[in-house]
Amino acid sequence: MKPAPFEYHAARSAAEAVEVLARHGDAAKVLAGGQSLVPMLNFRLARPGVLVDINGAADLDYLREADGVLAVGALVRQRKLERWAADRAPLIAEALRLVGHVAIRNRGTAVGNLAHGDPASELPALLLCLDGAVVARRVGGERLIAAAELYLAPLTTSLAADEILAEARFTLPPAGAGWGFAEVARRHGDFALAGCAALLWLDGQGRIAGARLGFFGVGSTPVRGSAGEGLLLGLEPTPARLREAAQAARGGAVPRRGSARDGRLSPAGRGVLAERTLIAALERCGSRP
Amino acid sequence: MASAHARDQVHDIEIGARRDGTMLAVRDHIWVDFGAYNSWGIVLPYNTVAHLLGPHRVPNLQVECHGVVTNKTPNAPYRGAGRPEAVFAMDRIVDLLARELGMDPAELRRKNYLAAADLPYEIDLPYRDGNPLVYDSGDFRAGLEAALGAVDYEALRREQAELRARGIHRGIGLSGYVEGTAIGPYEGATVRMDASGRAVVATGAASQGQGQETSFAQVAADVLGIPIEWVTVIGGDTAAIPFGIGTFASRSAVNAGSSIHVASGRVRDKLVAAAAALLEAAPDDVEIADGMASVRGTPASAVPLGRVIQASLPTFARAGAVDADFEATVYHHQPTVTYTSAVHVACVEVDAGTGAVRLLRYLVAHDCGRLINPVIVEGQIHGGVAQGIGGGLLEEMMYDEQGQLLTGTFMDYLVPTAMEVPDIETVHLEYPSPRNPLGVKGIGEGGAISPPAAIANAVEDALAPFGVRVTRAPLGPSRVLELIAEGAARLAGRGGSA
Repeated sequence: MKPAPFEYHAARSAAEAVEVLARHGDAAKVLAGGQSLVPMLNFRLARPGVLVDINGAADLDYLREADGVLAVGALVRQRKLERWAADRAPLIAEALRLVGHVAIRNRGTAVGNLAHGDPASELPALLLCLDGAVVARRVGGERLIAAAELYLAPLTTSLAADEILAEARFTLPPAGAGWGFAEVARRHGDFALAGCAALLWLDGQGRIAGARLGFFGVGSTPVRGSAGEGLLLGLEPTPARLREAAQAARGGAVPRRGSARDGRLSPAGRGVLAERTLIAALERCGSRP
Repeated sequence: MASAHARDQVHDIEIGARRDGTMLAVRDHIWVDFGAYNSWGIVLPYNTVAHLLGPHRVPNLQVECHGVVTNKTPNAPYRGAGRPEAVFAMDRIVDLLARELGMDPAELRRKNYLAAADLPYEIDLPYRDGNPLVYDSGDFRAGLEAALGAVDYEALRREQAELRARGIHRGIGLSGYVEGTAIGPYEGATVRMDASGRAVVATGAASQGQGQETSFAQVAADVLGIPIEWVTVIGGDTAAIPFGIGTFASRSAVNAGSSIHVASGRVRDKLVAAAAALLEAAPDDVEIADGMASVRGTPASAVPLGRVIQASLPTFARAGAVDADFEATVYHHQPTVTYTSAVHVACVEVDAGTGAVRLLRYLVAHDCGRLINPVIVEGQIHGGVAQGIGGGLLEEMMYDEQGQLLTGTFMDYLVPTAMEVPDIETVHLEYPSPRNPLGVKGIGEGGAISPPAAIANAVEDALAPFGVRVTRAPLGPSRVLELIAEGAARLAGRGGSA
């Protein structure tokens, strides 16, 4: 199929993009890499009256690390972030390797993925796991939205209709933190049935000083495994404790999905993923994250 | 997704055997979901019944088959057409028998597979074309041995045991089929030469992308004694040949190929006669090769075939050396099918924690008679196996409680991609068919027949310690986790013994 008719604006800057959004509000959608939006347009699952193409907005194409925070502009392709992260933030690189295929990541943007808000996508859970936030910009100002406040429902964020998601901020894990990442997908590059990202770091006595778990494909939004994290803090990391934390974090209900029976992983399967990522994170503790 | 579905069958199958594994009887009760309209009659159920026993020697068979009309999209024959379902049921019950008897599944098959000495072998049942169902050629046990040897089955079993001790669950699955291919009753071909010595081959069996332009050209070029690039193949044009049936049911190489082979021979005879007249030699002394005609033992006499043909054309000065007729049309009659066979081996690793199945290795040892073109044969096998892997692991038509199709797009109906299909290994065995002049058999569908069964057997084998029993495909992660839970319950019911 082909998209329903729409008005097309090629924004040359972030300022121009938000001006168009201010004029059209709800009727407009922002087009970056288009790896999710364009198929939705073609299926006519999305029928926006106006498309604001930000591919020409060069001021949104930046990748900056300062004070332990990685700032990713809205035009940064997933592949570029993946390459940047390969030896600086391997958890991010590992998660990105499972986003679609290389050709998709060459075009898709990290921020576009976050703004799309698919609950089965890797990056929103990663943002949650890395205590991230996003910068929402509108005409005349911007605000910071914490990852935990960003996702409301499948494909629904707390971004206002006149705001553009201009930047994502990932808090990089402390030196010595270990990481783990695992997912189950029916095919390579498909949205995961479920997945989990984990971070662990230890104090001088070998006790757990920090633990983070982020799940995707387990509910209507990405989910932080806070219940499991709390069970680990201040304690020595034993296999039994990691298992207990994984069980506590995995959640109960299998989310409904209106399609294939094999569309989601059971809570038991999720628990296995969480436990494996925690074990992997522990094994990597001490080395540079 | 709204055109036609396939593969929707339920089998209630039993097998009887002696303690030593000798198979005695199979009883099957089959329900076939036709969907809303039964536009194909009993083609699918009949194929299922006719192919149920496959390579096994089973003296007694009782089958009851119910076609059920439902409110789903109609069923239609699709690559394998009722055979993958039969093979799934049979190979599953054979593996269960092996488990029951404590026999290795390869050993049980070895004991019951028919060998060359058993053929021709009649199953007391008419084929769909009304003729007796008689396996014409092959050696199914040799195919099994070839497959087991090529994967180094014993080494795989040793590796499996070592890895299992470390919590890694690998499984090896076998499946074998014997497939009636190349249903008749005929296909035709016209072969004719032009004045430059090039050939045109016309047949009603048009290529769908199988490479028939290449394999048919090979058949003609071999007989005519011309380079393959001198042959043009025309498919499905009634201006070029008026009668034909078409390409389906793994039939074109046998039906059209045989017509082309025989017609090319007749044209060659005409070329020999013309060359004999031109070269003033006896026809028996004329040789044709590489597009040249010559008198045997006199290479200097060689003239291009174009010259031979041109010399037969009348000029003002004289009539042609012979009648300028270098054309023949043959309608090959194929009363019944010819039997292709194969043994497939699937090696999987199952993640018992998440239910994810990874296909590590896939091997096909097969006999499709004489190979016209091994690359094309392998291409057919690769394509078929990929589709079969889809059926084993991914593809499923699903409806919700309201009868709404849930898998209506390729976002939800998952077909395998290059990432999910391992390199497919092939072993060619050649048992020429006695039922056509080329000795060939059909290979268009075979690749798709065994993968769901081989994969199901491999997954169950991998998860044997969990008491898993696989009864349906595809095997997605959630279903595998359910099977593990059911297996645990079954083991608990037996007091925990495997």
